[in-house]
Amino acid sequence: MSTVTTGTPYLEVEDLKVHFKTEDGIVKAVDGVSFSVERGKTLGIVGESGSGKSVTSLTLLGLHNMRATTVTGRASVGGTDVVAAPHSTVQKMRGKDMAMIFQDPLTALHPYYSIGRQIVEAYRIHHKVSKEVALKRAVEMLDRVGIPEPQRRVKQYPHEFSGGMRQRAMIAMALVNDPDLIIADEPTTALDVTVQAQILDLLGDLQKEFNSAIIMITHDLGVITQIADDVLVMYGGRAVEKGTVEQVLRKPHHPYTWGLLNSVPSLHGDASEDLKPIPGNPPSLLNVPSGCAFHPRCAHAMLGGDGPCAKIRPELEVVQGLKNHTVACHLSEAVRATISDEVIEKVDA
Amino acid sequence: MLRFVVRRLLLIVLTLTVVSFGTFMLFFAAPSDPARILCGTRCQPAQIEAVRDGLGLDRPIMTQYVEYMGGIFAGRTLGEGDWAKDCSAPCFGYSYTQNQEVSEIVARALPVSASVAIGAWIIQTLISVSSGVIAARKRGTAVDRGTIAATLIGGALPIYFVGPMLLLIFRYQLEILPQPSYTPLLDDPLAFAGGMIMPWATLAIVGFAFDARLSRSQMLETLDEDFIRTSRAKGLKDRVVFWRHALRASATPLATSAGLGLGGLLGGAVVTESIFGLNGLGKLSLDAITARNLPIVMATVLIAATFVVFGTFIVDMLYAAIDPRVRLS
Amino acid sequence: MTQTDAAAIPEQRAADARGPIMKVSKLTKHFPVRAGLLATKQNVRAVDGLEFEVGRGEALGLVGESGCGKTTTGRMLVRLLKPTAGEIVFDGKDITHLKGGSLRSLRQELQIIFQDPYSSLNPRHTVGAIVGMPLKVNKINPPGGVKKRVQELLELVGLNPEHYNRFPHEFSGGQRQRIGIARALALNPKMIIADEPVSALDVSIQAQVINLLRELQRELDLSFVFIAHDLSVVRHFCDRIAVMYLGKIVEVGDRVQIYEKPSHPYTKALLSAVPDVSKIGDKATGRIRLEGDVPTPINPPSGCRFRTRCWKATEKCATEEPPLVTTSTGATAACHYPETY
Repeated sequence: MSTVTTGTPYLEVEDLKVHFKTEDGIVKAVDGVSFSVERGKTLGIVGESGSGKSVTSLTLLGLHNMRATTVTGRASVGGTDVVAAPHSTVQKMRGKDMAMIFQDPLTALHPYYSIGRQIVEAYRIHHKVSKEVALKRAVEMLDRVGIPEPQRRVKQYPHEFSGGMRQRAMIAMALVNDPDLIIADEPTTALDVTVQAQILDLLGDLQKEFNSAIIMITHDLGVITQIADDVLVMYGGRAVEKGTVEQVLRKPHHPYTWGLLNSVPSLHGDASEDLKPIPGNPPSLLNVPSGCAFHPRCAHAMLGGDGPCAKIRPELEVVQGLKNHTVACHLSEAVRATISDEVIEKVDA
Repeated sequence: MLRFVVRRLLLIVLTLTVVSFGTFMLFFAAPSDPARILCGTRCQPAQIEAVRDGLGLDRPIMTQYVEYMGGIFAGRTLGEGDWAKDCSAPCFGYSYTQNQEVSEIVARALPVSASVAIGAWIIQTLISVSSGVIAARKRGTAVDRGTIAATLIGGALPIYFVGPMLLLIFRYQLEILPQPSYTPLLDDPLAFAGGMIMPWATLAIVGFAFDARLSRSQMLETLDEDFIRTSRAKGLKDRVVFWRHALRASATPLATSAGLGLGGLLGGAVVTESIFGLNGLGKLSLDAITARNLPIVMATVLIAATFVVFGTFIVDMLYAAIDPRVRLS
Repeated sequence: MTQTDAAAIPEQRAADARGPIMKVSKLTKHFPVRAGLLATKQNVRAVDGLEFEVGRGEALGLVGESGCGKTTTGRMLVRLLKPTAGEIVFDGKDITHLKGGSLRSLRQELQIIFQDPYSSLNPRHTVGAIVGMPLKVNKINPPGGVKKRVQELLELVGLNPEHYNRFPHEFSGGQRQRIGIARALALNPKMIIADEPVSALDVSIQAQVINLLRELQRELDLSFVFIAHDLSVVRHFCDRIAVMYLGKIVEVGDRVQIYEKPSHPYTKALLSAVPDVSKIGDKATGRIRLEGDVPTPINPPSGCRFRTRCWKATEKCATEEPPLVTTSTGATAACHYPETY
């Protein structure tokens, strides 16, 4: 299906910027983000609301709000730059080269059409086959994603499915054309934990089978540990830390990553102690703080005198000795390494 | 589905019973002399006596109501002895001032009003919904802005301005349209349409604004829904996303507005008929109210209520046809 | 386990000599529905015979997946819903059938905080008006006036008292939840029912609000029923935890009993499904995966309601409903074959 050979990334994003013009000023939803994903690999993008993680993924499919929006940079999907490509080209790639799974499968499926009809439609956009053939394929896909009695359920409507089954149907629809890139935007956030576990397992299995590249967008670090190979931590529209899951979650080098790891309540450790929240609120993308966007909430910010944190925007730099691990922080590497060990010690307690 | 239909029909029966009972109480249990009011202001003493006798107004109000309702379905004999009159179903009573059965009078007026209201309803719904939907499709373009401007103007115009203006321009200045009149549709379809076109246009122009704005905003709202984003993510062309997915999802609220609009148009028809001198229910009830001819008022209220209730019923059925979730509940 | 000692401190607080502040017995809520074409009326058995107590100054967690009845329970506890059967005794008074004026005065002592900080605040009212509303409605004039009291409350929940005249949209999600908490505290309640108070918030903000609630609990000697689906959040706030499944409590225990030695298979499966930040790569080992979804509460399985998804289920589970009994860990669980340690 794709001409890209294994080893070269299927998706390559370089310096992607997405800026919206609003009445209140320019919203820099994504402000210079670069990453890549190979086939068969999963990249987790972590961030809070307003970090730019969802806009990044919508932009790849050209599904962002087109009005008053400027997109710059490069985003190569299987060799085609979807930022520069005409609308019609991107539209034809949707569903076939890149597919998307959304957060809430109840609102993301059309309420008035049967599950089968929606999958058949998705298949026939890219395959010139009869409705009967497409329906057979839909039943196969429902079966593949673990929906019992697919022959019967294919005729049912979304409201007749439970939350978990709806998300499975959504996944079946996304995978019906065997896409090379799957973008999953918080696919388990609306689901119960036991169902979340099922869906994450399913995505992992399907990835092995279809050898697709997956982008998993989430706010939940736990989900990342279960499914991702690489992680990109976003804050205020920019990447602040990037690396393998092992690197970012076991040797984190950015104060925001530390903050996330510290503030998440866990099932282990001392529960009688107060949690260590990150103070303040995520920044407004209309008015991102100067220098490092995280400096107003950072316990380690160097602000007085020659302190660079509020003045100079840190760029991603390689963390020495750790291949592919990059971080955007002014703290010295030695300082970061010490704090990182302390943070991880607490997480493991 | 059958259960759903049956339940809605039962609800209709209940609504109409309540409306008829309420209206009956209001008119017939009034503290003044019902016989005098029933008979009308220009009634001779002998006629009043006939009414009092004939309707048995000395009997309990519930008995009177049951007899009245019975008359509608089965017909009844009004009065006794010399004054006895046979009134076949549907019997809405007797107009003593006109010496005619109410049902005969209403039967002459009803087709006129129904033609005005239903015709105007079809035209208004077609034009306003399609222009609203197209405006949404062409959002931000000249087409969209033009539609918004048209709704602003249309929404500000009252019937009693539009009607006379149309008459003035098309009947008297340009002389291209005939004086509005009623010809039965089956007798001469062309004459029917020609006679009705101005009343239809009046109601459609006045009603256009609301439905067009509603359709436009409904479509825009639907276009923001998650499932629209999903259908785009599948690779569907924007055109298909709009005309298949978005339009279908907007159909329910649009059907609601259109269905309920039918009831509203009947009210508008009353004013329109008076403007164009059509002898419909509107003119009939206006005259009946001035003459205090209560049997006729009562009959027209019941017919209007039936119109509204059936409009709602049609909406409910459309809902069930459009939205699979309704069929189950 | 070093945390055992530290975790034991709240338990001592829970065992207050004044007796429980709330005692719930056989609490039941059935919602009638019509399903299918036949005219049979069926019941959604949302909550089916709950029994529990909340000690003074204690925080009881109510956890479970969607459809387990935890939210319905919370609404019944503050009498926003009327129970179908059962009894709720609050502070020595039976509040199950309160009406009108006495129901209003109950609200002074028993408050609820909702999940969504966006829709639970009236956008057209200032923060001062929102927080002061309970005082005005109940015609209470605190010493120093309503405004002074509202500013004290704002300060208490970590908001700037000078923001008295601002509107909800001028605040972030976390701050809005603080406003909701200040409103709940306005009448000095003895107890607060918190229904998913942090689940709509960003991760970094959740911790702020949990810490605030813990602080308030300590300072004001408040009792809590904390309803949540997130087991780790509940662990950090609650002394005792009740796990619900399909309208019933399947296990009640303290923090150690529930999180380290779960007796009920469902509790165990629930914990095992929570992804753990400290464990990378062990995608399959030692995890329990439940099959399928939660069955419908209209027609719950016979016997033990969890049996359709349970790997230990036998014939007995289908025929005999397991009672809540003390297990080897000291917790109470409703299972014929509890886990042993």
